[in-house]
Amino acid sequence: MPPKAQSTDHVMDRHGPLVMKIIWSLVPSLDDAQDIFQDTFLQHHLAFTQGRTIHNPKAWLCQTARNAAFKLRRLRQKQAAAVPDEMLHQHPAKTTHPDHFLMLEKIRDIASTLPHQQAQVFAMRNFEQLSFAEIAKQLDCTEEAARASGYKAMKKIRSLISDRQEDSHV
Amino acid sequence: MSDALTRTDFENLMDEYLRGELSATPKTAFEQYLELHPEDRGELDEVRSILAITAEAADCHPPEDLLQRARAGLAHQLRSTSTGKTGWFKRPAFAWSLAASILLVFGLALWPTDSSFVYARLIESLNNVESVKVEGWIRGENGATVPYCQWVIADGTLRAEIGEGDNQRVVVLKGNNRLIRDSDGKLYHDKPKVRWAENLDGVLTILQAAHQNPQVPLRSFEFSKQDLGDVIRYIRRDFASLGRGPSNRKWVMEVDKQTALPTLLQLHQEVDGHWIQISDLRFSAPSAPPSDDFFHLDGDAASLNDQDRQHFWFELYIAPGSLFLPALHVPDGGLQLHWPKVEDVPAGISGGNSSLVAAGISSHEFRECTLKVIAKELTGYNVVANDLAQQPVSLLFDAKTILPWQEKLAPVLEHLALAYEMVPIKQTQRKYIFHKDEQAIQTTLHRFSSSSVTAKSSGYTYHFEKVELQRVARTLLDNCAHQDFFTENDVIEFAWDGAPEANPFLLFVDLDCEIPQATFETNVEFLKEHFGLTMTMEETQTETMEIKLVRM
Repeated sequence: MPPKAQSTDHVMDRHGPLVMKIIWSLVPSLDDAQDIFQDTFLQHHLAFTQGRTIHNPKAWLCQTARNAAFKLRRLRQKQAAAVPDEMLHQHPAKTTHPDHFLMLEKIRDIASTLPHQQAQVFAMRNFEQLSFAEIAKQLDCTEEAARASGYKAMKKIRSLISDRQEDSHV
Repeated sequence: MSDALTRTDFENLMDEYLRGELSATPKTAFEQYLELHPEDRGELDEVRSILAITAEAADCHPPEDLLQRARAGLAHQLRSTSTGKTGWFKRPAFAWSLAASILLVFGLALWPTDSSFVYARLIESLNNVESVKVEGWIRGENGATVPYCQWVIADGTLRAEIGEGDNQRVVVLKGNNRLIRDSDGKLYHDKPKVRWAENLDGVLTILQAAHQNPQVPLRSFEFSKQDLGDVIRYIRRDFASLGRGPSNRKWVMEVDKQTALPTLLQLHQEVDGHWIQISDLRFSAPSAPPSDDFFHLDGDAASLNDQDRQHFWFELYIAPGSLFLPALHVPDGGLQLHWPKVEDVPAGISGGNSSLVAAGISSHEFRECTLKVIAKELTGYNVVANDLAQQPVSLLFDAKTILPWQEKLAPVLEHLALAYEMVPIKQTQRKYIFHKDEQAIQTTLHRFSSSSVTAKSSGYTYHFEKVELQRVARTLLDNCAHQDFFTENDVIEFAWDGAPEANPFLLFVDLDCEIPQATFETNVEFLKEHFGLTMTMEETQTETMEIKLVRM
């Protein structure tokens, strides 16, 4: 099937703003968010031109964007990059407490290391505020499975947040 | 839901309770649970705190012009692809922090004025290839050059022509069927057990000579390049499997600057201290693949007997990947042993064993391995663990793969003044059976395959791109810190009785993770969490034969 650039344009028109919002909730950096956005839609274009059928483009794009964002966060953790001041300036969210931003970054980092389904459910529930019914529909699983994954993710994050807080006191 | 909540209900409803999403009945039940289990209030408070923080992420919106800028950048990339079909896209320069060493060696920096841009275009061009043909010569059994031609199309169907005129043999591999037409016109059929590079994508992965994920550093080979005017010549030298020293193989690939496609593939092999050229193949990518008839051989085909297999020792191992490694040096008499002294071990080579089976030749490298390991590798039989079997030995072994195991083992033992007996043995065999639950799996986002496993003091790092789920599972289980649960007699099975095309264990997946020092049990748990694999174990008593080494 010959490539149709307008097809990627079409899905970008429909879902681009949502995809960017999802990316921004996980990686609030101008350069990184652009890269992940472009990578996500390039993957769509590649899949489309290779004749792959994407049954639910919205869900596919959102999952792909989350995966890419998690992947970048894991890479940054390996590089042990400190949160640059640039990121703080770029982040327009009005956090109620200065420490909340750093805690949020830690939560994002931990979420990026979770198993795939747990990471997806955690992000969809907590950063996108989706219901378990919507999550189950997008991930093609049951609501019960989504709830269970959400709980497991939260449990891991709780335990690791506690460990990190204890480390910081040493 | 019953009136009394269980602990599991509490866990699953906690999130919705804290967000005020529960209706009256479950909310009341939840609060009654808390009255009965005040010890769980601490957990509730912790989750409440985390929800308050993550809600701030949900409230934040990207800068207004960010979407516009990202779309503009993407539109530019889509317009700048060089052919009508899509291929490799230029990554944003910042993307994924390309490792400096890779940038240097491969020139994946995408500035067109750099000749290394040719390599990036090569990757893009290979993505558009629908069939591949190579034509030239390979070095045959007696050292003479033999004309060779091979075609591979997308699904891995291939045709190979070895020799020419009255001496030509033809091999066609289609699906799980191999046909061989001998030079006298007789036709034979066979079902291959193993295929190297399943299809055209597998071949192109090898030709690309580097996978697309810049996060995984080069581990298997080193590259150099020369600008020859109209072409760029790339020379790839593999690392030896047992260490960081060089192996005895190198490839030369020339890429046309204009078309950005390979034009030449040569294989060179170091034999007895001298480099000899093993093959010289001209590469082309026909835009129109050959017709179906081309991959069909007419006539009644006979089954191969043992004598036939010896006769077709080379043809039986032709696979889609053969165009990259079409032949290897054939030792005199079909078998060669070399017993390196300790001082002959090249720098960078560590202990262990590695094997290469390709082009009808099996090459084994054993460095300070026990005879137990060596005999098992050469014969497939387990070996009785007596004192003789525990001797450490270093050996380089090359032989035609088709040789019977007795002929492979005999010269090894003769050199050591040993012999063998076959002894019956009763043993317990554990069968670890994996089943797949209904958990959805994210299938691969990559076109080409790559994998790496790195052992560190902190654990194992796994990186898989487009790897079959069953292979991912086996690799994790093979790399447990403790092997108590997996002896040489045990087997792993992946249970699936549905339609073959729906077999989840054959799905291609990606995985990028680090697992701390893991036991068999924790790795099994990891597979369950990530991929929904559950394991059962069966024990059976079996009778088999083992090799017992004895003195002559």
